[in-house]
Amino acid sequence: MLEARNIGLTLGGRPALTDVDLSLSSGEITAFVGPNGAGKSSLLNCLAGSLRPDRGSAFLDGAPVLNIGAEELARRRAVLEQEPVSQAPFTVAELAELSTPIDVSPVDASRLRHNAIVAVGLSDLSDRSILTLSGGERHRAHMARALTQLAAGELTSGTPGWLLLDEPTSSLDPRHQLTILTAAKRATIAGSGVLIVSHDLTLAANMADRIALMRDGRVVAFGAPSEILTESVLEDVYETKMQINRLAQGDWAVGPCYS
Amino acid sequence: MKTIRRWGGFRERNDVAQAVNPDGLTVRRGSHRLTFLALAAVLVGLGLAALALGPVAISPDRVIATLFGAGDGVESAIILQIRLPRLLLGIAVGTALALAGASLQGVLRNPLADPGLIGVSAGATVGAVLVIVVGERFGAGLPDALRPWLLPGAAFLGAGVVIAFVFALARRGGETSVATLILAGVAVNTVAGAIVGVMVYISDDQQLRDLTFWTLGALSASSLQTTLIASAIALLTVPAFIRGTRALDLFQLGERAAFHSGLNVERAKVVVALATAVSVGAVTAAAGPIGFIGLVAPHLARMIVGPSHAFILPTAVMLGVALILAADLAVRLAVPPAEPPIGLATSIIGGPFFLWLLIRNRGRLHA
Repeated sequence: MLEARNIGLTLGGRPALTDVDLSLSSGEITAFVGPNGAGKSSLLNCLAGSLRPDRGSAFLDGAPVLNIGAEELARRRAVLEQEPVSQAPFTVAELAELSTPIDVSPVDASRLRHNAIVAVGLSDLSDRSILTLSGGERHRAHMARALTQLAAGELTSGTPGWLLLDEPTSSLDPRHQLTILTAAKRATIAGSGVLIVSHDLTLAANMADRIALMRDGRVVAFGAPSEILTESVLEDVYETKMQINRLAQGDWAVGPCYS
Repeated sequence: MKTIRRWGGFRERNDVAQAVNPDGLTVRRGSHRLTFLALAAVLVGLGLAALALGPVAISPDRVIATLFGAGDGVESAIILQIRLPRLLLGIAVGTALALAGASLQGVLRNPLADPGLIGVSAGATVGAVLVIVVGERFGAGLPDALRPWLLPGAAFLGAGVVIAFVFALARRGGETSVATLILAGVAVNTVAGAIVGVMVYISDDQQLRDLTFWTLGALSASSLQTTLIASAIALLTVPAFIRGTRALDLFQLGERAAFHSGLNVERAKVVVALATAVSVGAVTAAAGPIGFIGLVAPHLARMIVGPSHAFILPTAVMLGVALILAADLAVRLAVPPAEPPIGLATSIIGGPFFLWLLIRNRGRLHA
């Protein structure tokens, strides 16, 4: 269980998070959606332990994340940052293995890395320097790094961990959006909890078991897509005319009204 | 079409595999054994030359004989009393500057970081110069056993104060700004230059002679005792740097992602800063401020062995020592028996190299 209890945070004089109470369950995909500046990434980083809230705390299985050491925390949750940086010319394979704890044997690390690279569809490019890749390919390489870390954490700690993804699909084409989401879905089937921050409402509605709708640093609605997604709630949050459609095969199509 | 050639890099790979990608880009990988062997051979050659060459040339077989205790009085005096300590100090200086430079560049994700540029060497210089000029007056009460440690101690304090100051100043929103760090270094270097200037102004003739090499550095200006103490201190910090190779790799992801990957970022930065202050302080106390080795050696190492710090650090050390020994030989043989400061030789190589880096990395200073 990954929880936010009464979290409050001010960034640059502006309230970024106010009274956030939320509890995420393993084995599910939870999506954070909401307008720019709603506090989605800040909340993700508080839950990941890399941002210290001014009030309240994040808890991982009942323990405050800030009390868990960096090394132990890395075994229990992996993070894909919104804008991963690396100017060093690591190959895709080297990058994918970079966040793996050192006590994982080279054989295991190599196997987990290989699986992750296959899962993000980069097998053909695994010996290429990441500096020569396109933005989307590089993003997938970092996703492979997060997946390897997650699998290695499960291997060394014996329990499935958490995968926290900050806008994992924003730079990807439709095919590779599905590739990444399938990998995330597979992680939940294996027992992990997945958190996705996204602007893509259609993606959230179709893939997430639960959606937290955020605005101005608060969670204004939290529940299964069918429970909380209504046009009026979305219009209130996004301050623009929205439409929600259920397509013939059951898929959701959610977005602004264009006409 | 751009071709990237690198040798080795991955822990379970020792074969030389070649992958040619559809667009013609080639990544060549294999063992670094050849690189290491070649560098080791160069080092042995330079080490022998450092013992053999000088105003009095001694043949290599006599050098080896002397090292095993079979030299005559003059040979023994020259090699054991003069050239061996000088060689030892050269190794310590090259090692300390290369490790500090490689680690600072790794932590800051920027190839322009260097203990000299950010003012650490200048801080050490001020500490040492203060001891030379006014230390006698205040240090007179010190027990004899502690006296040889006063100079490296003061240099370490100076280096430590500067590195703590510039890192604190450059810290913004959880990340460290390299631009601010280097600008702070410029300010520190200016102030340090002024303090050294004042000390030169008020010093007497003997002190002035002790001080002259502080402007550009030399391997032969310190007493045997100071040389041995400084070299020992510098070489003792090597494990602290070497243990940080994985941390330095993770820093390449940015500080937040490094934390997400399990790195205690603040502790890793403190270790690098402390090890840098101790080792650069020590070698600066004995050899003066020698510039640019900490910039050039790690950069060349990265070009040869790729981005993994497990390979960058040892390669940078070998290159740093080789550069120092070559520079020392150059100044020793240029206009005998006079000896220009070694910093002159390293600056002649390092200055243009720094300019080339600036031009190559235009726009990246803001990181």
